[in-house]
Amino acid sequence: MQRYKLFTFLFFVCSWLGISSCSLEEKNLYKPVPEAIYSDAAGINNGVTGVYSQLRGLYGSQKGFTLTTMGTDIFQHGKDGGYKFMDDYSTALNASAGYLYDLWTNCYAGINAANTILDRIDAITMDDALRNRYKAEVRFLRAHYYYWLTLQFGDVVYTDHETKGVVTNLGRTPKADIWKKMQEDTQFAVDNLDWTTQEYGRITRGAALHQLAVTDLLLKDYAGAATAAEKVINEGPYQLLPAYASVFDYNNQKNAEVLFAVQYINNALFNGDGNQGNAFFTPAYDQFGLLRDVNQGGRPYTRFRPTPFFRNLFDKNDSRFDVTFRIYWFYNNPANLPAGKKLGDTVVWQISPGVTSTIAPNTDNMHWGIKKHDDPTRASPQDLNGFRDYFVYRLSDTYLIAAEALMLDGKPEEGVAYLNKVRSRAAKPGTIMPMLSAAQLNMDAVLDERARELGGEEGRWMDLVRTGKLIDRVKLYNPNAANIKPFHALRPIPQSQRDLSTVPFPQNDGY
Amino acid sequence: MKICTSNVVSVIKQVMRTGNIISMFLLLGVQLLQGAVSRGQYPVEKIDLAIQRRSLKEAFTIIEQQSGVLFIYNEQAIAPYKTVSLNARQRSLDWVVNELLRNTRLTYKVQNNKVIILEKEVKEATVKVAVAADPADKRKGRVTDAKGAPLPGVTVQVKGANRGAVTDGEGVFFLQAAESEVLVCSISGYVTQEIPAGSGEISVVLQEDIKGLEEVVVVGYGTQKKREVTGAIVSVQGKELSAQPVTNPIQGLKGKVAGLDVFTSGNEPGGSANILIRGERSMNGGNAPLLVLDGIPVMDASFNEINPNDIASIEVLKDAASSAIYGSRGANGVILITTKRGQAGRSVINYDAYYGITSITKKLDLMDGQQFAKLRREAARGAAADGNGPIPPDDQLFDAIALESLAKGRSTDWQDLVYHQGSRQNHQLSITGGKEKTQFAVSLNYFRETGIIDKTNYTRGSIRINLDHQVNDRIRMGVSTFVTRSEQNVADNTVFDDILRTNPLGVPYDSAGNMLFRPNNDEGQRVNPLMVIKNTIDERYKTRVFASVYGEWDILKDLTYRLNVGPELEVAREGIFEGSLTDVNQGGNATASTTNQDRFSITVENILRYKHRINKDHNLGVTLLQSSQQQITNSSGISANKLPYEAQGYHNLGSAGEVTGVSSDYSKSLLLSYMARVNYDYKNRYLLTLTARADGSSVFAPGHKWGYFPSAAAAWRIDAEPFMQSLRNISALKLRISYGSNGNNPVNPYGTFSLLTKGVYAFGETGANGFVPYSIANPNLQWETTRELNMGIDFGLFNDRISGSIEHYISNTKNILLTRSIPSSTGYTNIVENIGATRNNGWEISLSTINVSTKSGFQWKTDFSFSANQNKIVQLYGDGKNDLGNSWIIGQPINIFYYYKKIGIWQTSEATEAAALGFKPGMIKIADVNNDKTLNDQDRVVIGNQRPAWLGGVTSHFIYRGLDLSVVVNTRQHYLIYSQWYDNNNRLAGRYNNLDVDYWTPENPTNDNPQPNKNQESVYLGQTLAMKDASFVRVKNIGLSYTLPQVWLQRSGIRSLKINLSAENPFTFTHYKGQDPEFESDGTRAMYPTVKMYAVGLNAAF
Repeated sequence: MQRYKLFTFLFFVCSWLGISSCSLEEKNLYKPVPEAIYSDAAGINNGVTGVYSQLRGLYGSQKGFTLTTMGTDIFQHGKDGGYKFMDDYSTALNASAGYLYDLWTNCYAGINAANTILDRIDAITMDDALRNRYKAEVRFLRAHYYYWLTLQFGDVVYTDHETKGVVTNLGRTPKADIWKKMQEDTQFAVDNLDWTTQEYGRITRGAALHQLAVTDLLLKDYAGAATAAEKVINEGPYQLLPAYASVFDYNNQKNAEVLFAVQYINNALFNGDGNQGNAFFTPAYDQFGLLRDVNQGGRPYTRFRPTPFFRNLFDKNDSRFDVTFRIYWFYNNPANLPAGKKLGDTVVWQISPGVTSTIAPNTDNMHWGIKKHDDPTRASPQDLNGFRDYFVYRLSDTYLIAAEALMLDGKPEEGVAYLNKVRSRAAKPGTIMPMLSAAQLNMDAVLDERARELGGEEGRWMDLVRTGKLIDRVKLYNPNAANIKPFHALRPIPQSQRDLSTVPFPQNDGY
Repeated sequence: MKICTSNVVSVIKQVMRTGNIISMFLLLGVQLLQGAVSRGQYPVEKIDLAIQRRSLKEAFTIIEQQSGVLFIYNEQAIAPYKTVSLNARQRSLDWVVNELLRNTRLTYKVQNNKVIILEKEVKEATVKVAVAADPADKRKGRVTDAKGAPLPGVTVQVKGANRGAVTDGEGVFFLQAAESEVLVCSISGYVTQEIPAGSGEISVVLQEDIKGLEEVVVVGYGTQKKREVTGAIVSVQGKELSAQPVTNPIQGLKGKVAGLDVFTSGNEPGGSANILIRGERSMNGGNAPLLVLDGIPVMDASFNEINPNDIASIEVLKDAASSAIYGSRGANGVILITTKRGQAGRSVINYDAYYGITSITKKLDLMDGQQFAKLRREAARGAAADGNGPIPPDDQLFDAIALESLAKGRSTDWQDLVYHQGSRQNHQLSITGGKEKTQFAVSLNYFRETGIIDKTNYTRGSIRINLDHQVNDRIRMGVSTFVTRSEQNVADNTVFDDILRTNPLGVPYDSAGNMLFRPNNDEGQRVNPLMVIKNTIDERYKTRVFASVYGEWDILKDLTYRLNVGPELEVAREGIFEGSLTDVNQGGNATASTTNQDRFSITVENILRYKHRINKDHNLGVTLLQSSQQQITNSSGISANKLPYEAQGYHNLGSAGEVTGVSSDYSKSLLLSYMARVNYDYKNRYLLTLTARADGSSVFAPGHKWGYFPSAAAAWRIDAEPFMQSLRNISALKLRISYGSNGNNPVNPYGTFSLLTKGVYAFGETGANGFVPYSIANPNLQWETTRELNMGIDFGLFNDRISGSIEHYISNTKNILLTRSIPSSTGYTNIVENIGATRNNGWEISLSTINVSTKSGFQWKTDFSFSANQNKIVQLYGDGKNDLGNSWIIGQPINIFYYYKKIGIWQTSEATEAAALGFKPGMIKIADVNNDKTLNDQDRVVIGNQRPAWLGGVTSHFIYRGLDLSVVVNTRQHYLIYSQWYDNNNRLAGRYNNLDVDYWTPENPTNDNPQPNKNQESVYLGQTLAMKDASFVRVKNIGLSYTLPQVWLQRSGIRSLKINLSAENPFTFTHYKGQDPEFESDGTRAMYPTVKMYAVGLNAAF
């Protein structure tokens, strides 16, 4: 009897266990896979957004600022930070520097994301106009990532298809060839994009033309560059704002001068690491009895400090000096108020024994700040992740590109006119700025003007490289960079790229 | 939840209908897990026996070999019975023993799985004597086993006199003995003990002789007698583990098992440990062995929730042939944990407890205020182009607080302020017992450790219930369950950074006694560590429920079916709160986050075991298994900023001003397995084990899901050969050889797919979701396989005064699953691939010796373990080329440091030479390896191996009567660590406090550390300073215990009582100057330091 009871028992147990069949297939895949995401127009839209998202690693990040600000003619290193070797061009600036690998990886992630869209988009059923717009945006962005790579590293890997499988056998493509590809991509964007967009922040024809002008300059197609830039100026819906200050007015970020801005938003879920530009130029004012304050530079990272050359570059009537530099601080700490001062009074600094000034000194320990990236809406000065849009291309930049292109194309009169327009806009109300003559227009004058107009924004190092002026000007104007050598016009290729490649991947000379 | 046994179930149903038991045997997987679950019960097997004119002793030996039951007898008592004969076919042990004793003056009783042979008259006789005895003449005594159970039949002899007695059924004896005389107590199966007669009633506790080869070993899906084992398996008894006051049982294995490398992975209360068996085979980080708890593979190889006191034994399956029965997951070895089970008989209540005081093992040598001030001045000087700039006056280098400290000679030792004593305590109450048909073991455990800094602690409560029940003659069932709840409070790592890096010239409190946020003003980011502790919460809760049920059915005499169902649930929750005044938030908004994770796993195993003795020379055992294991993980989390009030901790995130992150995840994986094992032995001398296992895993792409893992093992018991019988000095000798293959699938679910990751953006005021490519699809991923040849010898010499084993193995792993870095120009940084091959080979020696055993009862025993493993990469991509980007070099171990070699500091006299290479005096000098007068990537060399060349352990016991002194020493030798402490705390920039190192200045031309320079965030080439040899010898544990004489306890109702003192980590010998050579960081800067403990404890049985 026992046996039958047992049979019955086992029968029920086993039946219960056997109710469902099983399979080793991984069916319930909740993760995002390319086949699912890139299967319709909405998914492609998400993919395009992904290509945009990689821009945030370049603009508004410490890496982006360090690679473009440190070791230039207008900024030297501040007190803190681990990348001072990018300022003094010492032995430590070598293939192991983390930001170089980060930049390399960041750009190629963007490029691969773009390539993936471009390889797949033609197979998707969607509106053709939309398809072309997406392709244009993505091709613009791909060219933009290559701009960073070729300007920083020179000849790099070029790939315009989605990476499939392990690829280790790509060598270096001459940068001039890549610039040609960038020109094609950007031209496609020019041809397929409108001047305006319903979603602010997307690439427009204006941005594409500006990038085309820059690319043409690289290819020494000065006429093409001038044409593209003048098209923006003359045909685009942009205009220089009457006052330089209003360009950087926090409450006026979407203004008529902006061609292309990397987007940040006051919503942590969509803001990533945010625009952190507020912190890096800020000196350690809090070590002089003041409280950290979002209106006085926020969190003091003390990474970059203006060179004496940059501080003295401005005419007395130039409104850009006040918009650019923070030279005054104000007492804000009741616990540390000097005798006779009240909260809000301008801080008086001890410059040297017996000498005081309300203008901050400019040493490593306490130096001038940059106000362009101020982000007073952050809840606390400790929040690095700011919300301010990062301006990549502005119309005044286009004017200066036009000036440069025309000058190089042998048309200094036409060129200097554009440059002077930027200067005259910069004049303080009721004053006049001295204008340049065509004879005075040379590359140094252009770069000086770009420093005044665009100083403290990313792009300086690459402007100097593009114009071939890096070594001369840095040697001349950056007191820390006596060691700079001609080979420093290119960064070293990240060591891991060389180690992991199965084809020869020569290092840039000098490293 | 699906349970995947359908294939099997349909077969079972069919079998049920046809009644064809044999076909079921053929198709079902399985085996009898007798040892794991019925250990300690009265043996149920039927035996065949044919004895012709043998002595009774020989008859017992034959039965012992066949049944695994131990006979305990008094040699003198059975000596007269020289010729017995018996023919038994399929008789119970009861019947056999009764028959053998039929016409003798002997009887028997069963106790603790042993048959104890008694003289029928003994009891009567002693009672008579007792009655007749003159109390002054005869002394009363009692002999018990370690658990307090009386031992009958023990011979008690007065040493050097012709007087003796034998204990009765209650273990009592009466004997004439003077106080100064020594009594020798002996019985087979127990260690003979000599004790002075002393005065009063004599109490003797005999220890089981577990050294013998009759020890039963859990081998996975079953048990074997140790002498029948063919593979490399090490068994550690539970009492060896619980003797040390450790948090989790694996820490107690340190230095005890040759080939097992246990290294700490965190020192904070509740910290865990990493385990490696025979080195690393896989490069993908999946090197942790499989953990099997009471027969069920568990999903979380964390031992933290398993209470050491609950463990009956831990078996470590080291060679491929042994672990091959766990096929797919056996590649890194298998650890089997068997928990204690109840035994029929009197209920035993045990209370075990200890309480210990913990403290930091070693403070770091940091700079004090004056030294730090000098460093900062030198750093300012060193920043000049020529390295010899002017040193600015102090008022430009230091703020008012620091200046005041300098003036007063004041210095803050942040380590002293933060570290204090902690405590660790453990309480375990267990009850075991049962009747003939039902046995139980129930335990309650409470463990709490309070850390050496405030707000760090670990509390664990657990309940274990193990039940075994005999339903009828043929059916048994039982459960093994435990429920654990733990709470861990950990300190934010920034606390340790702040302890080490905060300016010693700063002060923790202002003049009014208020805690300062920043100890001084000249370094904006450093925060008072006391403030961080005060304003940070990091709580981790874990609830783990493990409940396995088994049923066993003796279908036929030789055929047993077993069903295991093992569900496991783990719910973990972590809440983090960082107040405004913390290192993380630096005076900004308070932030908080919570994450929840629950994991569920269910294992179903159908096991069929067949055991047959063909004639007296051929023994055959077959085990078939079908199993499935499914795991599901769910997790979710949220993080928030701008908490409106800090008192909420992380408990009211809905009120937060901003949500900064939301996440959820799900994954599921399934493993299906079939296994067959054949054990065969001929004449108990020639042993053979054949195993085959097939595993199908869901994580691989179609076409690659199944892996097949065969193995074979053979052993020759030389000691059982007739020609060996005359060699009395050799009590055991066995040669083993095994060859097997097993697999590894350290691939995450969905790991073969190409995946995208979130790339958020915004357009204008609208957030936009985006996706970017994240991983490359690799549908070709397949099983990583290891083939291992193992040769071993087990030996016992001089009546087991010396015993041990020596193993040598060579294992080849191919198709290694590894995360390979790839050029990031692809848009990706790495991919998981099957690449290349590695080889491990090594030696392991285990040795147990009884060094001294004097007649006075003093004994010194030593257990020694040694293992050396050599790992090397044999092949990578088939082209013979190294992969320098991944630091993989053919012929070198997997984990090496490949970097520049520091050969000193550039000295002033070498300025020109240095300048040519871009260096200046005071900087680190690296070797120009290829002598090309430039320093570049070609000058990198292999600096060293991250895994020890050898490791070992020595456990010594010094026993004298009730006193037992044990010393556990373990060592790891010849390996390098990358010291985060040096990396982060030896920056020599004068910005943060620094390790007190000898650094270069123009006046101090040392070759140790470079010149301080305030312009450096970290030292250039400073990595060369952080690769340190961390070889050490550590006295892991010293324990002294005293078992109180029975007589003292007679009226207390306590059966036995042991008190003990122990010291954990009391001494460490090493050249490494960091906090601890064994573990100080997992790469996340400074972490909780290693602690030592002094504890007092007791074990009481009632």
